[in-house]
Amino acid sequence: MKARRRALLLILPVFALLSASCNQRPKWTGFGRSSGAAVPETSSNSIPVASETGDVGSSEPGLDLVWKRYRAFEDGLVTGLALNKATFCQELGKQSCIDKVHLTFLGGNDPFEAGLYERAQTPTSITAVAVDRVVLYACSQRLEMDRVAASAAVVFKYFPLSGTPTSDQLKLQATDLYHRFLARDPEAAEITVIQSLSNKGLAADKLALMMCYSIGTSAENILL
Amino acid sequence: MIKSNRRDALKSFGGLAVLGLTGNAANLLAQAQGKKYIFTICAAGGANIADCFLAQSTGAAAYDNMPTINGSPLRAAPVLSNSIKGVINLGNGYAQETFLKKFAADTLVMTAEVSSVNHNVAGKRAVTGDNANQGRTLPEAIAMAYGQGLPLANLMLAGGGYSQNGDDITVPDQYRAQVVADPLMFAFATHGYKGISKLAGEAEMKIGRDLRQQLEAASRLHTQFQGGRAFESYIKNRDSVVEMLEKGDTVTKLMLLDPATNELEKYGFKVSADINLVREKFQNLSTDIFEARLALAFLATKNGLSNAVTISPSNTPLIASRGTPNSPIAFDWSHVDHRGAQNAMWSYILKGVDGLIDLLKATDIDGDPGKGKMWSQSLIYIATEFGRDKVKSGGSGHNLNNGVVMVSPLLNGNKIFGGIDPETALTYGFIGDTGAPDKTKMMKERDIYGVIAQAMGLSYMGRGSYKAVVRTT
Repeated sequence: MKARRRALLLILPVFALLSASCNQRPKWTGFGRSSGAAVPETSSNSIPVASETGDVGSSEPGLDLVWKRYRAFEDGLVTGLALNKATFCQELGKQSCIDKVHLTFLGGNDPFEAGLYERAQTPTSITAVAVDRVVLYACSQRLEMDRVAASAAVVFKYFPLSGTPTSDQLKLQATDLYHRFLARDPEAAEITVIQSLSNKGLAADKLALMMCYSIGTSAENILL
Repeated sequence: MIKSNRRDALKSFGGLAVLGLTGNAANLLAQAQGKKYIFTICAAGGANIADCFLAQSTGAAAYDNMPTINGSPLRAAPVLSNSIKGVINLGNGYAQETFLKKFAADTLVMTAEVSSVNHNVAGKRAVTGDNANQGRTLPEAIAMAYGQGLPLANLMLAGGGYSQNGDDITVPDQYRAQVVADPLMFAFATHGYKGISKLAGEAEMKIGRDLRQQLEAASRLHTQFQGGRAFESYIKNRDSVVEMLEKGDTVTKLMLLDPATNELEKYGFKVSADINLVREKFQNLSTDIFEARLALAFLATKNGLSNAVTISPSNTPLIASRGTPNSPIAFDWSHVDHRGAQNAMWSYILKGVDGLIDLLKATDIDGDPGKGKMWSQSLIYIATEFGRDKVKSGGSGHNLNNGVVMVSPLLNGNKIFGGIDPETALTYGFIGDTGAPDKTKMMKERDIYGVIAQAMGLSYMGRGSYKAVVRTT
């Protein structure tokens, strides 16, 4: 009994010390700052400043979202829609969307030709346009491949692209697209929104394309 | 750094203080004065002022056969016969003298001694004035003051330290640099759906985008991250900037690709209506990225998309049968061949600026003759990281001592602010209020920033007074 009490007396202060040091550990407050780095001093004008390299720290809510940059974004589309990485998106049929035309807007950089040594820290004004184009290219190409493949279609297989989809078919197609892009089941509310598409008077192929586009370009597919 | 003259500081800030205007309110006041444009030309690699408009005929860095420039204190180095290792002809043959003959009245040199010889750090300090204005870069500050409502106010056609965001994290995202790697293809990034699928026209995209908005509103991500800067900024840009760019047919206005060698029509695109205008000045824009960037800079400002554009030459030589106009790694080729790099690169930069000024002089602001020519409200800042060792031959290292060139009708041109010791080719400073040279003084990055800010009508705490440098009408 005495031995147990002595052991407790020894352990408790150590535990208390450990606990105190854990409480002093800096908290993660967003990307752009290395873990454990000191919070930048504020200037005399109370403007937060950052390092010479442009890394910025902030404790604002929402900054802990991670930008799915060009390669992860591309991989998601290529894998999700079973596309050819080399050809699924080419401006004017010849210039790679990901590796060239939209590279910097999708979070990449070009050190050799453009002297861009750093990547943008956050999505820029143009990022959303680049996302729109790349996803639309991907969805269009998959749609045309599935149109040709008919019964062997890979993605757009839940309703005929020349017919009128039922609510259940829309639900099945939407669920598949949510799995492919966002790796989750759609919420009931999201299914309801998708099903309301049938009132828009769109042809089935256009409807399929817009479903693909809207899920593939949703903020959830860009900011994780 | 110049100490603020108390009376001048009171004049600058007193009025705003009385009105209770600070920060953004002051910017609004500046904007009320009208549109202003800044073009920062990055003479990347260390452009030495003693090899340009402060060239000397005697001393450590003397030139032979200097041309005579009548009616100007500015000097010009002669065009030299340069080559890369005696194998590839180097330079475009453009004479510094030509530039001064055309633009001396609006051109000034301001001497300075900078604080870093690290390319990246010095490049950034060249545009932040070593954090003179809360860490804002000049393009950020001028975009905030005069670029409100412009979808791409701060267009970045450059790299290295010049292209980095400033350290003031309160700068709204729409005034941050929009970095563009490929100027010829940039137009494609201004339209979300044109030329992709016959199934995705304006009506279908409206339905698709509405659907996306509804799906997002129903998602857990929206509930969880609504109000966060990254999320809100992305959504705001997508919903406003994209629409602005598409409705303004920006994709056509900025299209620089040659229809003869690109199947623009097949994909539903058209070339810019101004293509012949920019081609006349930038004949090599299809192959020369610097010329393409200058052309894009002009089109973006002319069409009301941007008011702060940063442009740099390529680090890669444009080798053709006749040689290359630019040296490898731009001015930094001076390590290998100081005179060759400086002489060729100054010609390369000045020829580009010459073309840009001609276009700005010929173009009305917003296409409205009542607003005057774009040039009347423009400032061109030829920024560089640092100077080079003051030598006549061989290679040179980085040197803090230098000076910069600015060209603008808003500046008191045809002058040298500061001076140069002909024997050492080292520069010295001046008194901001009077412009009198002062051999005991060195201007710093924050003084360069301050001069430009004052010329552009921007005030901030701690800005010096540079009355002598700014043109008063």
